[in-house]
Amino acid sequence: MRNHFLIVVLLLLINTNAKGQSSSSFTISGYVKEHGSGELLPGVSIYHPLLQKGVTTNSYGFYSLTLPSGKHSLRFSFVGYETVVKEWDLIKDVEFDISLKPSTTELTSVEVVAEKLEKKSEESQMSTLEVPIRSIQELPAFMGEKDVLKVLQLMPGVQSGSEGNSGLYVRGGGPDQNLVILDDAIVYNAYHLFGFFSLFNGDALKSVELYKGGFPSRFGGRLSSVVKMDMKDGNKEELKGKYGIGLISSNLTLEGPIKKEKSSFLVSGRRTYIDVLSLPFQDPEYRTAYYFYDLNAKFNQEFSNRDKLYVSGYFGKDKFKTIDKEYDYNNRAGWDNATATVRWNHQFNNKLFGNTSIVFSKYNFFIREEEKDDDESFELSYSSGIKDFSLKFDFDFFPRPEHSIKYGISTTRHSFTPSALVIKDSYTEPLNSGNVYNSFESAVYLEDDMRLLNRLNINAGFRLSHFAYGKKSYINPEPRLSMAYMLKDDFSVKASYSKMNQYIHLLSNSGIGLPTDLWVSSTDRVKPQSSQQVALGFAKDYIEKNLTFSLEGYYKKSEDVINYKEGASFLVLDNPFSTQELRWEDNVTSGEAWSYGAEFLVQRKYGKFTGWIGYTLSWTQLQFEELNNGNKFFARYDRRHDASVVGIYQMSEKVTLSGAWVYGTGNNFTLPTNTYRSVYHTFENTHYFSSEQVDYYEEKNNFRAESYHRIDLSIQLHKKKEKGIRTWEFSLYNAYSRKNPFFYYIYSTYSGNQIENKLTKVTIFPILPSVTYKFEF
Amino acid sequence: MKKTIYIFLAISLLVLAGCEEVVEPDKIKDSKRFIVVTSLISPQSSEILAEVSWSRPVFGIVPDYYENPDIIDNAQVQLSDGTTSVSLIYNEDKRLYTIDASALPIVTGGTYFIEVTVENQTVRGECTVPDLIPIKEMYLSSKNGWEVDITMSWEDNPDQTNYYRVGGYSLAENDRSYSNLYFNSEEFKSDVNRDGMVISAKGEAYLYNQHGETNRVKGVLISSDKNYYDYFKNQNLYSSDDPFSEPVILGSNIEGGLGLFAAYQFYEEIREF
Repeated sequence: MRNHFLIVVLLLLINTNAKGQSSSSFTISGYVKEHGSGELLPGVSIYHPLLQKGVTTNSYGFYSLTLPSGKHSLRFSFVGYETVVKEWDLIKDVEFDISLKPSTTELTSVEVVAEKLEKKSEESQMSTLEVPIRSIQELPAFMGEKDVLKVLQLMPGVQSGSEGNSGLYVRGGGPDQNLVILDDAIVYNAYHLFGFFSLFNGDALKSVELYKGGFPSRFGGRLSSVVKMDMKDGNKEELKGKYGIGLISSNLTLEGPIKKEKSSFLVSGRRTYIDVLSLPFQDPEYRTAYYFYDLNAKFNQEFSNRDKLYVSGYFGKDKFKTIDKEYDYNNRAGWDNATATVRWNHQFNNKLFGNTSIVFSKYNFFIREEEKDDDESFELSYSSGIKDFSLKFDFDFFPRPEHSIKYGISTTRHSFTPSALVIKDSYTEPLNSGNVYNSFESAVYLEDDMRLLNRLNINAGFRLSHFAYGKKSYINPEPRLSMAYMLKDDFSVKASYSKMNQYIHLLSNSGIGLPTDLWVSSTDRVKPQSSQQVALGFAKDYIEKNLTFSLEGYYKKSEDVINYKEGASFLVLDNPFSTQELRWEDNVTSGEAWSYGAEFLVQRKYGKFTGWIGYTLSWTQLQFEELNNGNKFFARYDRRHDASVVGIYQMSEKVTLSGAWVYGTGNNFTLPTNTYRSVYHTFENTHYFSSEQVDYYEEKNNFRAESYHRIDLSIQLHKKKEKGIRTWEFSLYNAYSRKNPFFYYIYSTYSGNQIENKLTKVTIFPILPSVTYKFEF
Repeated sequence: MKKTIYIFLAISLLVLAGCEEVVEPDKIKDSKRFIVVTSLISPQSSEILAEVSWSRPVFGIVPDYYENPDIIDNAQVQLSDGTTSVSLIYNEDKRLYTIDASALPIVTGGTYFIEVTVENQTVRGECTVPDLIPIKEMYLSSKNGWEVDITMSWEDNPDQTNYYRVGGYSLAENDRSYSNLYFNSEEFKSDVNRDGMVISAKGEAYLYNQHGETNRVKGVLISSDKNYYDYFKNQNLYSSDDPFSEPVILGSNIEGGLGLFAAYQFYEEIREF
């Protein structure tokens, strides 16, 4: 640990020395904000067209560009905002903050758009996806509930699991291999209601980025993807808000200044009301109820241009309740997530920007049962979960226009509670069991985004990760490289390599995101998972047409991935007493995974008509010594073809139309091909041969389900009112009511002496209409 | 608590009222049937038994469901120790192939082969008899008047992989079995990571005499080959009422067919308590 700090201090020293390197150069630095709200804008391109050099703003809107003395003109551009060109005659360092105006659709002509577009082909980074928050609000959503993760599922390389589920399967990896971060805090269970909805409806978010390969070295800890979400800071100029009323939930977002231009807040909440609506229809003696809620809150304070403080948090809960008055029985179960982040930005000088974060994250699943019967009583409380405390230091250093350097250090203490059980009843001694297991995960990283020879952009980085559990400790170097070579001004070839390690694992065999899924630590017996990925691709911008085109091929090999052993079940809760002795390590087995494929994306991010077409061709195979007789098999969500067509058309100021069509090869299921008679052996040393049939599986995942497809459509009607804009939205999920499979089971019919087995497909979502009302002020 | 989980599932499925449809799984529908051979051999058994049957393809019609149409009564069943070979004879009453153990003694360390021919199709199995491992200690302690905790321990044979299964009964009058000894997750043990060490398993049982009189408890230690262990351990995991459990493959060591040909040693001991 001490060594890590030394490295940081060393890097700091290098920085201060670098400052005075060339006296004929000067630095332009500052912050880019949104006009009207004061919201800091990350990812804004600041470009010098003559020198063909540029930088982008960091996560906190900061930029710094060092140029030789003389006349310069810089272009500030960002998708969805009007481009600003600013000129200087540099004779000294300049501090320049700028506000960009959101551009309105009506203004959009082809010429203007050409200016606005940031070029995909120029970025050294590959395998990234950005979804404009606006399209999340405009695309049709299941039951009218906007869902960030479900919009990401529409992108190539990102797949959904089973019907309606929010989990992301990125390049063959499962939802457990995604690093989902909200304001630097890891979100452990990003789902409501068994995964049918995600925690993120987008109302409180400023940006969403997804990395599926070529990971920058500032990210680590998961094998397959990084979903980075940042909450809005809150409007610094005026009080703004919106509320929405939908079929199953309502939401409200409020943001505004506390002290104008200095501090602001944001609060955004959502709650379902099936429980309240169904109450009058239920037997008062026996009631069941379910609800979930989300609450995002953020506060920020600008002490000076160089020091800013952000405090943000997320709280969410799902809860089931059963109350039986007749038997004096009540049962509560649910799960909750909470994250809290405190960040302090400090700008050391005009080239060095630092951020310190203290992060707390918690996920907890619980069951409580109480039963009273005259003089007897029984109380049970079960919980499992994970709790994290992290400390992070991140620095952005801009020594010259050719180099943007990021480095930092982080450490996290994970506390796992695989199962804690408390039982009290009238007869036996109270039982109180449950152990907390602590582990530490730390990393140092350094990355440099280089623009060399005008044509070659490279992001090279290195991450050293460390994990300690008890006496066992793992240390792993993780080299990362991503590069783009511009063959033409708007056409580049890209390549990347990344090595990842994952030290904590999700035990889940349901595959549908049940809250009983359990996070566990790597131990001396269960090794960390690791992966290596290479990708090669092309990116082309058609500037006049406002289109971005990319084609990528990837190959990913993962080691020590974990899976349940045959026969293992997630219902470890079956017998509460057994959980004390249950060693999850005995239930899992390690193996290898291979994923490879190609992804194609053509996207139009700006204009009256926006959207994308994505196609993925992929293969995912697994091999475990203890599964499937040691033979390779295709993963459950191995998907040969996956396609999506997504469009949003702003017909007029009053009408927005949108639609999304998706197609995917069916999931794999394991079905028995034969059944046969079994034998039992008793402890009296007799055997009996039973006609009870056991299933014989030729191989795992031997049955490919029907392909999945559906179209979702929506129309939004906007109207300007005195106090704001109201929107009615009508949408159809699965508009042509395709009977997509959710799962299959074998149904037996008996007639006389005869039995017939049939395979039965269960579909859960036929056509589902929904309506929502929204008001923005 | 399982109830709670089912309440979850029931609510969510009610909310999301599903619909069902019968489909035809082409590839799986055409799967063939296999010859199933099941035989367990042990030096402690006086008779050698084997059952031969057909497996049933999962989809399609099974006539005479209750009449055991699967049993094959015209197979040729040969058992050999590598030098001597004997034929097992079909017994109409038991619906099994049998022979007296004296015809081919089953001995510790011996390797045996089974060969079954049905309609010109032959399937084979092979197994080796492990060592007999005695119970070293059996420690009983009363929880209350009617339940008892049991700890059974034994010494593992070093330098070989050994597989164990533990169980037994609490006994009533005339040593009649009264209640099973429940070892739950400790019923099956192997010596992986504890080769040559003393291995123990914890279990519990209900007592027959609940008023302070002497009770008798029978402990059993089965030492087996891997085939036996895999099959019965997985059989224990087999739970048809858990829709989310991973499919269980019982494991078959019958080449060309399905089933089990396995060897074990049976050791029992009675303790008074």
